[in-house]
Amino acid sequence: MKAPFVSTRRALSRRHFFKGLGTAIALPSLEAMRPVFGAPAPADPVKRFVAMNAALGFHGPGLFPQDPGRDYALTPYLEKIKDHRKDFTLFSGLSHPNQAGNNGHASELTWLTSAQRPGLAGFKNSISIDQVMAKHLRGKTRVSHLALTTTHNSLSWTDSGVQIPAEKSPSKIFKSLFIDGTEKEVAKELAELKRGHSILDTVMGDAKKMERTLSQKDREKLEQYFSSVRDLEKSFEQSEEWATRPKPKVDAETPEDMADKNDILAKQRQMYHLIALALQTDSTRVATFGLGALNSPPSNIQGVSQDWHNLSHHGKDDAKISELKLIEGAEFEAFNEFLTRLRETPEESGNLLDSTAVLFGSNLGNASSHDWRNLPVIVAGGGYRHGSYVAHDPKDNTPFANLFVPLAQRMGVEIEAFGSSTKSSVRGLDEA
Amino acid sequence: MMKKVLLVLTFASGLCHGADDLVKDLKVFLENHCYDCHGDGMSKGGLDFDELKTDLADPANFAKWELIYDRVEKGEMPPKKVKERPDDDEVSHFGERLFRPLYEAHQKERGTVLRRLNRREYENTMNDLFGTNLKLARMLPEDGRSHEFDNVGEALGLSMMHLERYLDAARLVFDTAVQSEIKKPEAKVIPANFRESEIEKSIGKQWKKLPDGAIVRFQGGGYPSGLLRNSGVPVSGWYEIEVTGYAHQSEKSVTCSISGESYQRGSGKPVYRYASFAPDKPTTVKFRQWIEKNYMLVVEPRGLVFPHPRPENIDDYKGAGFAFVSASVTGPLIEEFPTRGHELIFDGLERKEIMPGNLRDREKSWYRPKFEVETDDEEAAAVGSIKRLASRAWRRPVDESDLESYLGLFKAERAKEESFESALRTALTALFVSPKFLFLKEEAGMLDDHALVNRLSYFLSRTAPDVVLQEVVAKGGVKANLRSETERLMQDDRFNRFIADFADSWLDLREIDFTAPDKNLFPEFDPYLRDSLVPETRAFLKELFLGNHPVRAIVKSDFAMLNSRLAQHYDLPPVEGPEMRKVTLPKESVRGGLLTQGSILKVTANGTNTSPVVRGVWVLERILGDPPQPPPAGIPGVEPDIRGAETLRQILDKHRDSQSCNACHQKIDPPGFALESFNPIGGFREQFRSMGEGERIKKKIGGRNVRFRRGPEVDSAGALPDGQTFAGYREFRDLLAAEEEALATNLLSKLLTFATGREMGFSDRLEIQSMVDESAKNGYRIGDLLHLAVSSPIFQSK
Repeated sequence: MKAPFVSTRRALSRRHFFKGLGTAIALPSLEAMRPVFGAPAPADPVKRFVAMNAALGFHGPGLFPQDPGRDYALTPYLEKIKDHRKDFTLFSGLSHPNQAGNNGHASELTWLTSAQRPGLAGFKNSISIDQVMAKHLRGKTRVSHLALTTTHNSLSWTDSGVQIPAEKSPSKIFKSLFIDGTEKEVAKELAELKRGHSILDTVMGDAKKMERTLSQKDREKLEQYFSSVRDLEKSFEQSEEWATRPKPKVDAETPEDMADKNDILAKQRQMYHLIALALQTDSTRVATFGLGALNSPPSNIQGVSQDWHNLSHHGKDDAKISELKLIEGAEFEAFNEFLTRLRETPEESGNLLDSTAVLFGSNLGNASSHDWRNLPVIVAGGGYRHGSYVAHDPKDNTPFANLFVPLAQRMGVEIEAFGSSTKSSVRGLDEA
Repeated sequence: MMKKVLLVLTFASGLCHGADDLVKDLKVFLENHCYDCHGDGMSKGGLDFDELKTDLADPANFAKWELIYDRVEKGEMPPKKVKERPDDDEVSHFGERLFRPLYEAHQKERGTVLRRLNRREYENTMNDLFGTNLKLARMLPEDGRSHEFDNVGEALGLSMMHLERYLDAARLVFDTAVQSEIKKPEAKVIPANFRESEIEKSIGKQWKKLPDGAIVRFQGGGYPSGLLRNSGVPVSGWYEIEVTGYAHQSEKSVTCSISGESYQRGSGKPVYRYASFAPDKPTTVKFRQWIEKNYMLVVEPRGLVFPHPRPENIDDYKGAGFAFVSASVTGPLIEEFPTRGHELIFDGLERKEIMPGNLRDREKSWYRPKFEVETDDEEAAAVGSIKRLASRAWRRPVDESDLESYLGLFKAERAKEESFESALRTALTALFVSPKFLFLKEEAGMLDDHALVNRLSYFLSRTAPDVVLQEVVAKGGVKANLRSETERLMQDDRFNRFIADFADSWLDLREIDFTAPDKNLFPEFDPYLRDSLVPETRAFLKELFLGNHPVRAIVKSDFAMLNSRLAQHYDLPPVEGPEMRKVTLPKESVRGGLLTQGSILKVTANGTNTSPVVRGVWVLERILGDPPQPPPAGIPGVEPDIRGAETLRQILDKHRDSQSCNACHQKIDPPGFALESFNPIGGFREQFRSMGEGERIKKKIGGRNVRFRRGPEVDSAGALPDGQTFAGYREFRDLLAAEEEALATNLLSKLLTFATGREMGFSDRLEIQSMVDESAKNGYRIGDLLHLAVSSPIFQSK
């Protein structure tokens, strides 16, 4: 089947009218095809990053094969993504150190940050790796990142350790990325941005006056205020730049937000679809996605009648485990579709999966006992050499952040360390 | 310049000197009693004195030394089994030498860090100031927490995301508060009923129609539900809800939930309240309720048992039902028109409707009037408005020099051809994004009157100072009136916000829905029970404060706050109706105190099983104020097993290498063991429930046979670290209740943390101790502790 195609910032051929799979991309105007700042096409190909976290974990025996290596035997979950055997690497034995927190799910806060002792006294989160990348790429795309979720949790944190609220509504994101406003709406948006600018100028001046009267520690807090104002100003400028530019036209209907809050799989599919569209149209290059968690049974999965969170605390009860596996298996099916979608979207050199490093996993190694060690981690695409199950020491885990460093470097970020990393590489992640 | 450098030098050398002294003074003690395990290459529990630095300005070092101080002071170190123990003199000498440097190091650092309003404070402040009722908190990013408290300055970060949302929120507030209609909308009566087609379909099947026209439903939920489809309200606002009905074929009252529902995708289903309806005689329930636009009423009977499958002929069915007679929604009830926010903005200004070309348009339903302000002196009008709002927004008097830049903004906008009102709004919006609004600014040392009143108001009312407090400040009588103002605020409705927010942090009540109990194991967990748990604990706390109960009531009270569902759940004598009321408990009741309340027992469990470790840690942290150290790295968790063969306590026993674990677990486990007598939803148990092994149980809950089986026996006996033993929860509770000083110290510390927005630390201990001693004179009473907190230098200084 001919898959949809979209080139990103590179010379776009006007001839490509794309039809295929679920979505086709219509031609953006010439204006939109020019690289953003009028510079010639960059020498490096565009690189992208997506991270997905399953807050309720994955049942270990359903995922991890007995033996590591390239010839591992398929497990129930890996069976679901076996078409991509050569597109991903499965890791075990990774975790962030010191994740005992104020409750069993606290490591959710730090999955992409690696800050320690989450939620305990004096805890302050740090920037998440996606935001390090997004900051580096700021201005290159319409939005610097997407932070998405199906239920509540966001994986993305600012450099001041503030959680970036995640968007739950697919229709809202779709409209912001792909539906052009009317002339009046665009004018209004611009006016609001200008107004916002003026307001920020005013309060910045006032805050500077206030600074003089403050003690050292208070000043540090106010410094956060200043940097927030500056960040927002930059973001406004970026929005102004993009506000008048036509949005890419995609041949897809605006998705309808799910009426059934518990139809978690349908929600995951909607978000995957959106992420693929956003990457394909180069509307953003960085996305995080909380796959969700529920205190009720997910709808429309045959055979599941019990509350999901509760099933994750299965207490070794076989009946519960088998229901849990139905849910998690379905999540792997949706993930498989996403990988297929990326792979079947050609780009100038290779396909969208080659240009996108996908990090998929959980902040819990064993959700039933809230164990945050031995996390399930899959890295797919991104041009790495794949096909193996790489097992790190289950008793003495390798810092998960060791994996973040090369992932960020791949995006052009010049770092040698991140958070609790001890090395700038991880065994099993090699360039192809 | 020179002077500054010198100061820094003295400061630095002073520190070094102190640090050297520290080791020299303690050396003998450390060598004799500590080094065997924590020196010369040994580092038990991760402590090695050869590695430990003495720079107390570093928080990590400080925390270690503080722990060393505490463990020696309490006699926990050196451990009991060590034969050569330090004598009392040695210990007290050690304590004295370490106390001073710790005290000084902490005191230097202490003080509330510039504190941002958290989400709830922001929402309250805006709504109270503008007379709106908007859900603003949910627009804002989640707040950082420190020890579960979400109002601690140090932990409250700020990002671009916040500012962006503050701009959005302020816009929404102005849009809502500023008058947009020509005249006050009239309240209308919206009759609420089932849809005709649903009635036709259901009568004779699952519903029954009585001769008086009432429609009887025999169970809540299901389809068709109790949704009254034509009752959607046209605008968000206050309404009066009226529901009339009675209990049918029942000797007891029937309780219904009255809630809201909308067709909007993904919208919530807020329960407004529960109401009970007496048998056979129609009762009318009437109450005021905020209803969001397009939300319809839903009335569902709760706790009725309907057979499954349903009876063939409903007219022959003799079970209890709820006879619905009528319902209505009346409103919107608008008390302020225009809102106080509108008055604040436009006070004294003439704001006129711009008449449409065709005057008849004004009668049309689609007509949205436009307004303009008429004034001879625009600038003066703008200055007046900005000044009025600034002094309220910034919670202190302002003078015109503070406002120049905001007036400048107004003028610049006006120069861009913006209308007067739009330009004014821009300037006013800026006031609410200014750090003077967003942060509670406090100067070092004792607080001035404004800062003090702000603190008091945010503590007890969770909002900016009200008119009375503002007057107290204006008259300069803050200190003199502090006690009476505290009393007044405790009696005020807004004190409920304090109760709710304080309990959310202190007791984790915000996590009440974090897990949903297993339906097979705990089939009795119904919506009515769920919705009774948090109100119980809030009502209990309020009674503790307002009734000035002794602090031991936290763990042992002779009363409980109950409604009909809770009385049933706790196996207590029946209570009628859904309202929480104070009930004296039977003499030998296991209930009373916080620890036996369903809310607490639920937030400390995971819906399926309970862990003595989790609950034990919770009791130490929240009730005794003696948090254990986090587990050392590399200890794998224990995986619970509900198949019925072993209890978690048995698994833990096996798993533990008693040598190294006992130091902490002999403290952590006992409260957890005692609480094993309560299941994850707060029910009392003598056996666990099992989904695998175990004898079948013949029991029906909600008309259905239970599926769980009889699991292993509960073992709730234990021994405290000091050797006192308890046979079960009751005995444990009595031991705990006797720890009045510890209970009081803990509660006071939590109150002070919440009130000041900073964690209490080493240098606060003496002061807290003296307040606790003071409260002891009157039997450690909870209301007294709150007053002591407010009157303390800790509360009254930065």
